[in-house]
Amino acid sequence: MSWLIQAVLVLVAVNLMFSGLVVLLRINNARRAERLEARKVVWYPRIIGLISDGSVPESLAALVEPQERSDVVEIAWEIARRLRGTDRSRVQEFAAPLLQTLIPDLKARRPETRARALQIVTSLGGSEYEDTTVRFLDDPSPLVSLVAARALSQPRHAPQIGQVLDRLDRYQRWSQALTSSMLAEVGMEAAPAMRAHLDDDGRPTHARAAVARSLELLRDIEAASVAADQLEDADAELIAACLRLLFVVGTEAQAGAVRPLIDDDRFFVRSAAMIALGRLGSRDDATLIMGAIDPDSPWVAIRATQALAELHATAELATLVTNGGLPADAAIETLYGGAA
Amino acid sequence: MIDPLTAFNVFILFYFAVLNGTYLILSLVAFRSLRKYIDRLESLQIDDLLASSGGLPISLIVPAFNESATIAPSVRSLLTLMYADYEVVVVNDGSTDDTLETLVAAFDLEPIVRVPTSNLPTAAVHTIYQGVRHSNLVVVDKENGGKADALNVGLNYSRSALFCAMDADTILEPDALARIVRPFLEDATTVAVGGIVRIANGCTIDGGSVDDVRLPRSMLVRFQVLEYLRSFLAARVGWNTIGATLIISGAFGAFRRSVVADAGGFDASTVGEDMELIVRLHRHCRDLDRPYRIEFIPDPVAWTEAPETISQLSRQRDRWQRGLAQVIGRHRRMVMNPRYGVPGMVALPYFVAFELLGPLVEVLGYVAFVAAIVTGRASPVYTVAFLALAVFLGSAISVSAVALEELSFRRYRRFGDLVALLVVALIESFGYRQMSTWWRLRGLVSAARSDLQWGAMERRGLERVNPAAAQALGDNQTDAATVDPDLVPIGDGPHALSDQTRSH
Repeated sequence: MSWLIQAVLVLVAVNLMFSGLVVLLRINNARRAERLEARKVVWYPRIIGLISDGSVPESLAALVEPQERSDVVEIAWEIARRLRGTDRSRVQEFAAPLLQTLIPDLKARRPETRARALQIVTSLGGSEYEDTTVRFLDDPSPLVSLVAARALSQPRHAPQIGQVLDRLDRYQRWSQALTSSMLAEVGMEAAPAMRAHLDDDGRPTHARAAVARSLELLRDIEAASVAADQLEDADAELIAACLRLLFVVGTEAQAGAVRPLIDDDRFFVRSAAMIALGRLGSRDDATLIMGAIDPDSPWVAIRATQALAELHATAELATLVTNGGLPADAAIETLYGGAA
Repeated sequence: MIDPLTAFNVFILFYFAVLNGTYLILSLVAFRSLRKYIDRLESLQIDDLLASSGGLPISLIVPAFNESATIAPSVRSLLTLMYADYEVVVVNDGSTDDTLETLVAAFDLEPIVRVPTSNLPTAAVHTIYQGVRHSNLVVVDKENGGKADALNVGLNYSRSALFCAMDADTILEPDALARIVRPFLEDATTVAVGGIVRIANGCTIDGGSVDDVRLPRSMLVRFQVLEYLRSFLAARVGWNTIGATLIISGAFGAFRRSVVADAGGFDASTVGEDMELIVRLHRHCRDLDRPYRIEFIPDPVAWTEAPETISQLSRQRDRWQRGLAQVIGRHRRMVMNPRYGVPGMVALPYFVAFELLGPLVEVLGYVAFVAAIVTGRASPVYTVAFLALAVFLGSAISVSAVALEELSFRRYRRFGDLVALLVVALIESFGYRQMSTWWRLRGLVSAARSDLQWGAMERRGLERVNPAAAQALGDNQTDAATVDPDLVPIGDGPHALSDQTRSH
């Protein structure tokens, strides 16, 4: 029986050993956290001093010991992310000579390591890393490519926006919200390239739709005519995006292109067309909108009543209230902010 | 010839080996995935990502039934989340206490007309209210119909492309919404995302958020803490890695509204409506050959109150088991059906063999083990093998769950808590596991009798050290979530759009 007892004891020992490893892991983690904390105590005030008391970045960088470089870069990055303008530039100047420590990580096999290094390098580095960042747009890992695209979608990299736009097809799984807000971060300097992209029917429609949304976020008035030209496209996603863009930047000149779409058989195109026509159209369009209300489609009813409100068509709204049903509730919601 | 008892014992050994072996493999897979995931989060700089993308509008749907003791602080806490564009839709599910009156008084609600944007069948809706000071707070008062029915009402009356289903007593961490929305941003085919649910008993709660994470004193709750770690960090992360997430907790999950509405909403005829919906979403999307992702991610955190008495816990486990049985019964066509991919070919068969039938086999195994010992037919080799596979390997898996927590999020910062968790992991297989198996077996028997009753849980309410602070925070909240009327808030493209006009 002794070997059996030994076998059970071995299993118990394995469990205890596992537990011991967890404890060791905790001790190691605690030590690492303490070390980083100690470095923060030293380096936070020093880096902040670059901004507050005019310390010289180069001489401060010379104080960094080789073994603390990666921690100091982390700390600088943490601070730089919260800063803008010249304050951020001062921190970047300080960190630039330290970034060499991250170069091997940019070639790491693990995409997460590459992505993290790229994130820090593009955030703390200057224009000398722009070409490197562009190359990472074609990294086999979508994560690395995403980091590169976000890094380049900054006002200081506006001339490179074409590189990102050319690769939008790669990002077709991203939500439109993510793509469009990323592109809009570049600012108005990128608007001409985006307009051209929207107007290019050789480009994938999902990418053009995302660009339309970016132009909407930028409130680019010049995009209105380009958007109106796309309304005859077959792709509903693109049409809806252009209608939303027109709602924001369009004028009555584009109302004619919008009108036929309020009878579209796709409800989301119809809804977007109604709200756009409410903004761009004239009082006469109220009749058209009334005729297009589908009593069974809540979104269309809601958008129709909002469009009527935009047109100050109170008589038509009152008629809807009187007629009852779903459009009546939608009209009450629009007229009285939902108050019963 | 082998006698039946010996044959059965051999089968039991094989069963435990596969069960615990699978868990061990899932733990190993989870270990790799968690490391990768945490590195990914660091490389993405999630705060910046969400700040720049503006996030996606989301509705928090909170079913409430007789929650008058806790509803006001819970809602106040929800109104202080760090997210740009969200609404809170509380559905009062025919409470017989003064839940509604409490809400009306606390948030200065007034009746409104709100058009439902889908028409899932539900119990009758009486009145809809909106907060005067918090226009992003909507309260729907309805006939009692159960949690799934209340969620469907919330779905009908919510306006965002995404919604988050949760329990009224759940505490979301301030950045939980922002984190749970990230997969929807990164992949437009994402239809559902689950976050981690942690146990708040024993923690210090201040201003509607968990301030100080501690292990509870109660041993029964400590066992549950360990179970949750094992379930979320090992099993769910592991299953998620192979694309087979079958459960998103009803306490905290985010969904693409249009897809859930298209699939028919929550099923009010099951007590396992959370798992049922996920399995149905797999089925729905695969039947339509529609690309989709259902994700579990471990960083968005919701805190919940765990049962503190054996009777409450046994009722909960009984209900979970009944729910599981109903879900598998309802979707049995998916089991071992190649059309349903990994969920149908791997995850569901596992759930049938080990989660559904597990309690039955385990109890019979324990009985056979004792019988073999008593009758003297248990060979020494069998005895050791049984102890090794059923008990000590189980302990090793539990310890590995603690290791996963330590490698990833390290929420239990006190060294004493870590040691206590390890002790719990080592002793869990001696008594608690067998009790839990027994409760699940009772649930299985109830399911066989088609018992659809919910076990009531008396809530003690989580300790909040500073309710006044929570109130002040809530009252100062500005209307951050007014829906932009110029957008059709129904998704990211036609694939995500749905006009719910059909009748059910």
